[in-house]
Amino acid sequence: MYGLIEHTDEINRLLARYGVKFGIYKNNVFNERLFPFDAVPRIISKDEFDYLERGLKQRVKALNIFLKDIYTKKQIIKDKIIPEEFVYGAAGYMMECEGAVPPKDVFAHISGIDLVQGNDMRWYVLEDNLRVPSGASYPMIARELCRRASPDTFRANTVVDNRNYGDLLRDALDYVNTGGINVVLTPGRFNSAFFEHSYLAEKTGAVFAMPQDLFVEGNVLYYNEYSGSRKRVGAVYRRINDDFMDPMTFRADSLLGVPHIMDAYRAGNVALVNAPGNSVADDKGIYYYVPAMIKYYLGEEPILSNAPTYLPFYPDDMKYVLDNIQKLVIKDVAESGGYGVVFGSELSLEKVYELKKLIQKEARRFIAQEVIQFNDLKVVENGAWTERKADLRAFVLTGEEPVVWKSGLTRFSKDANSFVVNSSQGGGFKDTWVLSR
Amino acid sequence: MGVISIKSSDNLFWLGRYVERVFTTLKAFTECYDIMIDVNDEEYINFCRRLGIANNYSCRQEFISSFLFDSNDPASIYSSLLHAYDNAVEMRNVISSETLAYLQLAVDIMEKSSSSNAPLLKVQEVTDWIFAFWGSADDNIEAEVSRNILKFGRSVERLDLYTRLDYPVELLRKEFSIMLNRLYKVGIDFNSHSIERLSRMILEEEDYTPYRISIQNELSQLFVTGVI
Amino acid sequence: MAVLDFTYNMSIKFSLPVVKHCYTLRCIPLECENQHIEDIKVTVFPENELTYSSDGFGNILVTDRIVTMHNEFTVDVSGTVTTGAHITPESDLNPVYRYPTNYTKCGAELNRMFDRIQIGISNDAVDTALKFTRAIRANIVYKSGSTSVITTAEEALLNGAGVCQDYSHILLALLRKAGIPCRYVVGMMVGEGETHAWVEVYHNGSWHGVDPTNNRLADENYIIISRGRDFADCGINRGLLTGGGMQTQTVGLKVTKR
Repeated sequence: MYGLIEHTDEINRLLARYGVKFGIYKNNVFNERLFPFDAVPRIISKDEFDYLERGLKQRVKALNIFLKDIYTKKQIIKDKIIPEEFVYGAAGYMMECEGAVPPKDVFAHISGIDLVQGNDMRWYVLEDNLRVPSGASYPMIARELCRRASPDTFRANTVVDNRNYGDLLRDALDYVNTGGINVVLTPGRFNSAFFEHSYLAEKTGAVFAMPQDLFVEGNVLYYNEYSGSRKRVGAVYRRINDDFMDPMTFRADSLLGVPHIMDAYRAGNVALVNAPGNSVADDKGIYYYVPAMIKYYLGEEPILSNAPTYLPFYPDDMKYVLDNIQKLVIKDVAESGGYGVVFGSELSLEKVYELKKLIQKEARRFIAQEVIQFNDLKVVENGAWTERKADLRAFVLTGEEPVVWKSGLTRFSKDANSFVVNSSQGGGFKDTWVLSR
Repeated sequence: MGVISIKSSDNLFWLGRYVERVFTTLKAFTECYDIMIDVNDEEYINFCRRLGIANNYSCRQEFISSFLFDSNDPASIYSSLLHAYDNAVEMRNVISSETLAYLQLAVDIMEKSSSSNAPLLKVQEVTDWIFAFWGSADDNIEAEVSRNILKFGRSVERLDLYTRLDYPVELLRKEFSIMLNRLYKVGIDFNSHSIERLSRMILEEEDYTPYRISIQNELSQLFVTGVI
Repeated sequence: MAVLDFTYNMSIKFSLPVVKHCYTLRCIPLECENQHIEDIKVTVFPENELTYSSDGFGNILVTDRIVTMHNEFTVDVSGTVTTGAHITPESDLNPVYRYPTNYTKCGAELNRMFDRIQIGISNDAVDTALKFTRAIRANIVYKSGSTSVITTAEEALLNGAGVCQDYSHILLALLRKAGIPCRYVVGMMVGEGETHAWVEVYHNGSWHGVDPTNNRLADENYIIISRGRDFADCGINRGLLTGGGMQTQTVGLKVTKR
């Protein structure tokens, strides 16, 4: 492995060469930044990954059933497993999707499940991302370059190849395709994940489209071809948020959308990947109920654990949160991407008081979690070994059955004491090795 | 994958044009640079006039650094390269990551070379990467129509620059016939009236220079896209 | 039971040509319990083959994408509807109708009003709606043009005046605050003029039409076009234009009882 680590700088140069960047807006100016790569991999043994794989499949299976249930029969609400306000009184539920069942019943084609490993070596799920989870392209291209940089490392270690992500994605698209071409739809150059959009289009062999290339006629989605002819589209891997996807249904001021694409979707004429309306399952309030959901829908014990979570919505939890606020992390359910996360230990007494008031006033808006003692990962920084907090985004692709990609995006924090590992907040990434033996 | 949209065809066409603009103006710049060493300090004034760009440069030194490296100078080689890159980056899936990487490398060189005291030694690498870009494009762009549009853009730009830089008529004719071959092969919508007029001016007239402006006008109308 | 004939027309004139035009119309009366469509005709200019679709509320949508240049856009709908009492059974209530929306959120003024009248909320949701209606009428007056399409319930109440949209939004806000599921209805009433809006209240497994503007229950003189959580879900014409400049809209509506 040292043969790999000594080439860290060259690998980073190669990543720059291939334009592996993500964009951020700072003071309204768009800038592309390189995503620093640390060559020390996160290594997951076969047994450990088998366990994660079973747990992730189970979780995603239940979430898919949940989404269908919420937009059709609502049985889990009627049976009072989840209080209705956590679904129908929350921003994540989209009435525009009520009654719409996507091709082959798949809602979450690509799920990004964020996990952390505690220093007790147990894995905890922190978040389910079922809207447009990003990040698979980074470890995928990094692996390609690492193999070039240090072939011996990969001869000596039995690492499962992760460069099949494009194939897995294509299979997922093909499975739900309603007859027509596959399209990767990007909002454009100035999206933070534009590199990934274009790279995945290349790796899946799908047509790379911008909104103006697509149009709907007679509830059918078409791609406008240069030759003047039109090609029917059967599946859209869209990297545009629901709100902006169709100005006729959602935000009328969206210039990034395709008018009437929701009509084509509701008519069953095109698969939207992921399905619109998934935000209801992403909700941090719903996260609390995923273990209960697994028992309810699958009749199984949940394999993966959530981080210990409290809902101030319940009086017992409210009391616990108010009494222990200084050792908890408080999250605003409406925020994502590392925003709206507050560590009680970092607050002044005055701020603690304000936060308590707010939680009492808007109980539904917050969840509280025990701070997990991370198992820190080793990184090499300026030639010296040190440690960082890191998480793991696992990718589960659902076609006929959920398939777990044998890798994942490991992100680490910018400095040693920071708990926030989101790429939009600084920090870097690692390759994730899954061993085959 | 042979499916491309109107917008993509436009990106490819302009990608071809801008890459060629970098390549040929760099070559012309090198000649001008040499003359400015010990023959004529103000050769850049002629250079700007021939290319048809505004001479906003106060002296030889300013011209050299600005025309090569200033991204705020719309006429600069760096600006053209960035335009090429902007078009390329949207076409990664068509031209391939491999091909795009050569433009990325050229951009990186330009970024790093601006402070060099021997800029010409540095920008030589830009020319090298452009050759690599074309080789890679030939190899990796699967759809013939996409390849053709890209190279069609290159021909149009080359003809335009040749007329500006007073290249010999033989070179002009050679490039023109390469372009004609490509046009009649596959899939490009072009303005046939313009082609007729261009044929007359380039192939039939002995001296094309009196028609220079007309040729440039016809060239600009040659490619038909839906993008306004 | 009644048989109603109706004609609805809308015309928009543009000061500049429209080059691209996508639209979604919710202009066709619904088929439901106690409301049956006997005959219906829809004509849109510029003419094209119409596409039908539906939304999450079960409304009928007419959609199209026009790529020919035009200076005028017209919609004509006419037909015959058999109507009855406005009671629509629904066993599977969507809980979403219990929660406030942007238009129907209670601010300080609505909360105060609610506190004043909530004593005596009965188990009968329709009764409660009528009681709230009387309170609304004591607080605002009908005045056309006094509010706009973006006015919320709270703003209308502060304004002290409004139209059917505002009466309905205020009633929805109060009912939801009381935990009673309710929805917004766009439709037509016997007579001439414009489309109307009222409210449906969920009680005993059925939706009951209550018209706060006219202080009465909706009956055989009412035709339902669309339903939603509030005004935003029931837009009669939603369009996306390239070009067009200034727009001048005229609407004509006539409903007669046989």
